[in-house]
Amino acid sequence: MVVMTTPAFILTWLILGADPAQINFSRDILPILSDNCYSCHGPDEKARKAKLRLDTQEGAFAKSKSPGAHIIKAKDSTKSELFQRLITTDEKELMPPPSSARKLGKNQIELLKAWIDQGANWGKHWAFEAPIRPNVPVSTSDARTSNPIDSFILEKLKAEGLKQAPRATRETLVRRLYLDLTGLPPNLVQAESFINDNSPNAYAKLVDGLLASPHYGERMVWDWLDASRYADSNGYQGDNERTMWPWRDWAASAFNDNLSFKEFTTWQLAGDLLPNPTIEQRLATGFNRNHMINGEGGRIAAENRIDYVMDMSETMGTIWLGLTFNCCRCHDHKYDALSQKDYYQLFSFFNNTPVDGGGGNPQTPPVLEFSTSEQLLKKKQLDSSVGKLQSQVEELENKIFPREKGKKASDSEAAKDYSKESKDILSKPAGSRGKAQLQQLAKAVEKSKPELFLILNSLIKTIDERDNFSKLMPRVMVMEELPKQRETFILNIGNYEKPMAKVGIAVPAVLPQIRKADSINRLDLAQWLVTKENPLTSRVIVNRFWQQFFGTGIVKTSEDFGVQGEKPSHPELLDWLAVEFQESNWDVKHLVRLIVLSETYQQSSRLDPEAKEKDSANKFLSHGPRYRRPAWMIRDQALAASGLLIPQIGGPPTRPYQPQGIWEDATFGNKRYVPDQGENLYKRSVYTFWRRIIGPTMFFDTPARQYCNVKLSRTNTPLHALATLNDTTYVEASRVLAQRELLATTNKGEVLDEVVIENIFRAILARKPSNEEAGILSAAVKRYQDAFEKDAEAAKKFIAVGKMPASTAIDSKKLAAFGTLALSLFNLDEALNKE
Amino acid sequence: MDPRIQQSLLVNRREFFGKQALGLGTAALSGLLAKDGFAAAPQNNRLPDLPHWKPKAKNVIYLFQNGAPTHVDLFDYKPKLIEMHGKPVPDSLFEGKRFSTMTGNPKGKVMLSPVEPFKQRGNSGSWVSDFLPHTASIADDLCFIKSMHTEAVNHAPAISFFLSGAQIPGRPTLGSWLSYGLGSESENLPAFVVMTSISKGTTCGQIFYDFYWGSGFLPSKHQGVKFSSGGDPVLYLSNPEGMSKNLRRAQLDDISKLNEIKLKEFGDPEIATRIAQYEMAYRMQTSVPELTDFSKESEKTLAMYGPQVREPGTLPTTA
Repeated sequence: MVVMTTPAFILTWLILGADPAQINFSRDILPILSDNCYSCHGPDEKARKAKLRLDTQEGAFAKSKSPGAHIIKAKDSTKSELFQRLITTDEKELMPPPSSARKLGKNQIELLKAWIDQGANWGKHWAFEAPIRPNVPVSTSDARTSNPIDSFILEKLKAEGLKQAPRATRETLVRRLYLDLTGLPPNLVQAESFINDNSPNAYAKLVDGLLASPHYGERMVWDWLDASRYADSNGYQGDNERTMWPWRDWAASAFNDNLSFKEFTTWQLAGDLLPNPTIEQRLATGFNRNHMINGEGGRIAAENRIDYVMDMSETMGTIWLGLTFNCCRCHDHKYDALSQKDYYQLFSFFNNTPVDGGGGNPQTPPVLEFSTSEQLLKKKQLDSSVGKLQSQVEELENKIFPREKGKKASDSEAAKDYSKESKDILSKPAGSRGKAQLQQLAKAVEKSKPELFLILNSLIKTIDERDNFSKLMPRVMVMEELPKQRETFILNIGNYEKPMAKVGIAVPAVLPQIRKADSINRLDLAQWLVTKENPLTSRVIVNRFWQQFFGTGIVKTSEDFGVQGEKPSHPELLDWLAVEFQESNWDVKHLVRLIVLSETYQQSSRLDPEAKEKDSANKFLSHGPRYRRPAWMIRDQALAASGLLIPQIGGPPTRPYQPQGIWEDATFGNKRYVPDQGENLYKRSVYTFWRRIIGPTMFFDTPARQYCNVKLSRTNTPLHALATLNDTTYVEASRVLAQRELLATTNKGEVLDEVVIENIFRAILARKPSNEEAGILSAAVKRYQDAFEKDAEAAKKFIAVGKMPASTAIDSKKLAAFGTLALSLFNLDEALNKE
Repeated sequence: MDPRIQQSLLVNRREFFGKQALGLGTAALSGLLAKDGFAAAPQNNRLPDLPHWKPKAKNVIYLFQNGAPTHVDLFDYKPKLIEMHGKPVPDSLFEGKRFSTMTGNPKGKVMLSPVEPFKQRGNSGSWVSDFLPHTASIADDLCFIKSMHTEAVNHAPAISFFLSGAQIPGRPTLGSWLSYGLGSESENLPAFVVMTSISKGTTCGQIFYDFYWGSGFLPSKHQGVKFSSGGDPVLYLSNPEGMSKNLRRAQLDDISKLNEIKLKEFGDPEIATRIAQYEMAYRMQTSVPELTDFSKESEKTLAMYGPQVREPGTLPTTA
């Protein structure tokens, strides 16, 4: 290190508040260059000015026009044009140009100077260097640690002058853990059994039990479905229903079976290319086919096909690599070292399926059949009915239109007065006439040949019946590879009909390459993603699981690990987790277990004044995370707490309560929303039918599932309050919960309202109310009851909300009052929040 | 914020459209927008540097007429068309171009002059077709912009381009930008409200996608809130059956008391926001139905909207 003693240097030191010896290119310098220079001197060749690029070492250290100077000359800022251009007073020379509205801060300029004078160490963007397992810091404090996660977190807390928060209460922990790992709250017995378990490993036992629960997969798969843009319809106009749900169920079961994330990756991206793939491995490839399908009239098939391939490649790029590849559809990336050529070489991996982009069939082949044997039998029967009717039509036509053998019915003398269209139809065998043709022919013979008319009509009817039935038979669109690789070209601004240079098949040049002598395909790509040389996948994936448990990733921009993304708040922890994940053979349950067993996770989410001042956004995890639960989990909580939940795993999509006319409004009545009856009203949210053009209304802050989404959105608006206060689901669940608790106590003689109140409270929050809370609640229930006493009709109406009948054994006014109380409790901040 | 328009917390319909709001699609409610932090006094949540000048407009009403006769039949006078009526489409219009099945290839087709004659109107002399007698009579009050075009051949991408500047869905739309930049001055309604017509006849049967009023990469609080045309104008706006307004008030007071205890104990400022949002929800339950209920408007006012004013889902009702 160069020791400098000039006053300027001391000033720099003070401004930075850190030892300049620790200037780290990727952390401190690259972001400045990226933000201020790369739009003109970065990776995008077309946008590059003065043939200068500052994103490569070669470019940045090149000779400059001034004699003896370089763009950057190590250890000599006076001979570094880059620096001189930052401090010049000549407006024409100044960089960035004043017209760009970009301007470096004074300390950024000082930092660049210090970096150059120290030797201008060059490096790569941090996320492009493979993670190496860092040493775990030795904890010196008396804070609680249960695994290395805590050591990394504590080290940072200490540096920031913060302290670890105390552990959350057992009541809070049990609810936190149940909801985090299964998406369902504990019932009273489950909560009690943990709260009263005094064994030292009580918490670890609870964790293991929940990881083994079949509901774990249902919880974990939700974020995966958002990322995979899973939906039950095509999107776009028409928005035809598809049947991809067996894929959804497979993905949930893969989490339950703890399929290694390696296999999870290869199967979904390229299961079809594995040697002798199993049905399960082929089913997994439905992942790629979850994209929208555009069946609008007038759409050009070739353009659709390109859209689909782009969607597949970009989805892969976001989910596994955390890169914003979509920018490179049209041009080289403005900030990251990704070229347009890289984009289309990656596109090549997906550019080889038999899909041609035509039509809007929501079961566009290749498909896997997932029908039950009953369904297959019924389909066979309908097929044979259609076949029989077709031969009857032909027999009859032979009689009506007599002709020589080998001639067609249309050649018959009897057909000579028919229109050209009708003759065309008659010239075809009955089995190859389309429905519209059959209808047209039926019309033509309606008067003259009534017996043919009748039989044509029953054929049309049977075809309809068969086709409608067939549409509901689950077929999952999957991947297949054409025998010969389709050629791929760079497309000018992404336009399907403007091919430019032909490209091969490859992963982005900035990343380690696939080492293989032969030609490579989608399977090689999938396997490459999960190699330890790949610097991105393991980090990107552990970051998203972290986000799932702490609300925010270690890299906050979980969708962008590029230069413009946020730097990790705890880079060493991220790398430690990434390497741990790789070395555990990409064991997801192992990772989740590490996270939830950490003391960091178990902290109380109470904000003490010091933490509030220094870490209110909880960037340093000085306390447990506290944020609103996703809407789907809030709904499942209400169903579970009330006992309405039908905990059946998997199956076709369900249609729970939604406001009347919700689909009609968006589709001119072409699609009607008819809620299901019975059990389907009470299944978990993950099974709710997802229409792309108008998603389920009860889930606020959820992605539209039109494109890949890996970042959770969390807003706080009155619309959410209206949903949880007024939606039938919550009103019904509140009343059913009140009913259960009232009935449970009626057999026990004289029961105080307070007992019922406490039981309802505990069913929702897994803890007992404090005295102050209990006082408010019992006054509340009295007030509610008074109101219903004055209006008995209102009570009857209130308890009739929802399909589950109200018990007649309880006075309707009392039931309505306690139901209202439960509804208030479901709407408490504590009930809505992760705490 | 201009204190003159800051005043009322509970607005009625007239006031709302008359003096409140500074958002697209008429309504605007900063309140909807979660304020980071506390149940604060009214503030409009705009960006600090905006607006650049003292605004005259109090709200923006953007009527998007999806499906209509072409501009060359309405207000874009093209004398050359009249001259070429009945002649084949000249080669220069299609040579070297590709046409989608949607637009069709004009080769071999003939040119058509405007269906109704054009005249110059008012003092400005703007050309308006006889097709639009009323519009023609107010031509001096209007500003015609004829330089806009899209390259899309199909409705959805063209509308997306109109509303967001890009054919591909996913960019913030006009109203989102206004909500983001200028905020809103109403506490009781969303900053950006969308109303759609549901009549198949007047919309060419085109579906409304919610990305037409999406917020793209802006925070989701800036996305348009769609008032539906049937049932509750805002989803879940009505109290459950059997729950009176007084009972709901009592319930919210209780929720609030319990949340206050939590706030004291936990110190999480989001709890304060939640309390405020529940209050806003309650106010919306009153103000939105007033806003969308025009039963108290005079016959004279209604007559100005034309005969369809009472048919739900038609443009006059929505307007």
